[in-house]
Amino acid sequence: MIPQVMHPMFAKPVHDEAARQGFVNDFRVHLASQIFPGNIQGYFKRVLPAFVKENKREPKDRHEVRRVMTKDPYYQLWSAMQRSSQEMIWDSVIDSVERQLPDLIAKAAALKGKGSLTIDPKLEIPRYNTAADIHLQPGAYHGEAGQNDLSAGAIYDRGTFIYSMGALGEHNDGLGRILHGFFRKQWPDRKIERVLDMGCTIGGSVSYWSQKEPNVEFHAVDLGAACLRYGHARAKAVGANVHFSQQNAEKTNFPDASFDLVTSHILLHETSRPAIHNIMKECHRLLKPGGLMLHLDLPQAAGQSPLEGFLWEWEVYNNNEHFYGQLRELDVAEVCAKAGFDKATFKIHQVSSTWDDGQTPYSDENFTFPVYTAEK
Amino acid sequence: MAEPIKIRPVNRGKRPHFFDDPAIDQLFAIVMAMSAELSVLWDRVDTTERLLDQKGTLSRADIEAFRPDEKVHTERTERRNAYIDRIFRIIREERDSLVAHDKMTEYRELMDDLSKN
Repeated sequence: MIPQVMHPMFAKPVHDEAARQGFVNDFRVHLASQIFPGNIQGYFKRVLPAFVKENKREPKDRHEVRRVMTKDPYYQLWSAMQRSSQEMIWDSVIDSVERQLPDLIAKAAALKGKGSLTIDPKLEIPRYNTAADIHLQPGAYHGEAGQNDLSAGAIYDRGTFIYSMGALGEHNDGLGRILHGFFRKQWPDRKIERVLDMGCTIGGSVSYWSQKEPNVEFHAVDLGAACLRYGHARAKAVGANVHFSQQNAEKTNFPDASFDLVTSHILLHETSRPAIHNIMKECHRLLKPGGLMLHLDLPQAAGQSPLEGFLWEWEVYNNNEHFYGQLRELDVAEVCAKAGFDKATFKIHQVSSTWDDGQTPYSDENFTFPVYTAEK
Repeated sequence: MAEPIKIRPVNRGKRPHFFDDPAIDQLFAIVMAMSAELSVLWDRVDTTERLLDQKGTLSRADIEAFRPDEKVHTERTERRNAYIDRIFRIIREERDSLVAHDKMTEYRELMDDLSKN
């Protein structure tokens, strides 16, 4: 496990908590590298041959693979372990955050730095966030345990680091590094003055952008007050300058044509079919003429084999990632066109997970994220 | 010191079960949690032994304050990997019986190989 950099807002684990978090991390590495591949071996060794014998053909899609693989004992074993390991992540982190919470809240208030924070206690949290706790994080990203609570953010910061097995880097800001690196490679001379990041959670990505583009005015919105409070404090701690506000990306209070660039980092798959239409419409409204949007998300189903597609969707069914299943088949170009973007400007880029400084924290260096881009 | 704040410890959403009998899912979750706690205890014993080696005596505060350096961290990771492999040996054995191979490589490479045959 690579060590995570402990910025001043980090909830430091005591001896046994650190040992527990270390175990969960190492166990997940073991699951991914040693146990998971058996699913593929089992599929080709016994599941596929049995299917072919019965149907005289191979499964035509991932849904057919699901029907047979979910009955395979090896897959059942791996799934039970994978699900448990996910719950153990949060379990191993919550204790250390809970123990330090009053101190973290006091620390957040005392930290000096740039940017701002605007909380809207009346904001209605949409059903796609309340129906189930995303990634099984207890209380979800919008949960609040009390006044000035920032626990959801502190739990998220450590929990996502363990979840990704360090693939987001020692500062847990890898997605910001990937998208910013792509942006500057693709548009090296583009002038940007005001940028909005949608669904920022703890602002790890947008804070990285702010550190790289110190003369740009950054805004960031999210549904979760506790994540935003933590994010603002974290941004101050790392020297970023970001204006955080609690808003729904479907309908913000910024005036028309406010931004040169709108970004999101793995937001879209956590929303819903009506919401993604609203978000794209909002992007169109918020962008200045000639403005650009960049939405980084998880792979779609197109181009994946039936088995690969089935395995990618484990999280849809078992890790409360419900909309990801639909996004995998959604015609995002069509959604953007309906929102007012010229289809000619829409593009899906497959962006390398390698950072611009050459680091490849992902175990599969060929892994790419789709980035949906369009210009107004 | 301010009042402690309780964080809700359970997640919301329908719990899936993978085995025909959900009790087996529950049993698996228990076995995994116990594996974690035994590993935590192992680290604590390791800390205690290292401190005793170093100083010949120790206090609880010494244990709590102990932070593994890179060398200790690497040793513990190796020890945990061996431990996990031992506990879940039965699953590795089943995996090894599925397709003959020397060393499991990356997922995509295997997919490619198997698709070709």
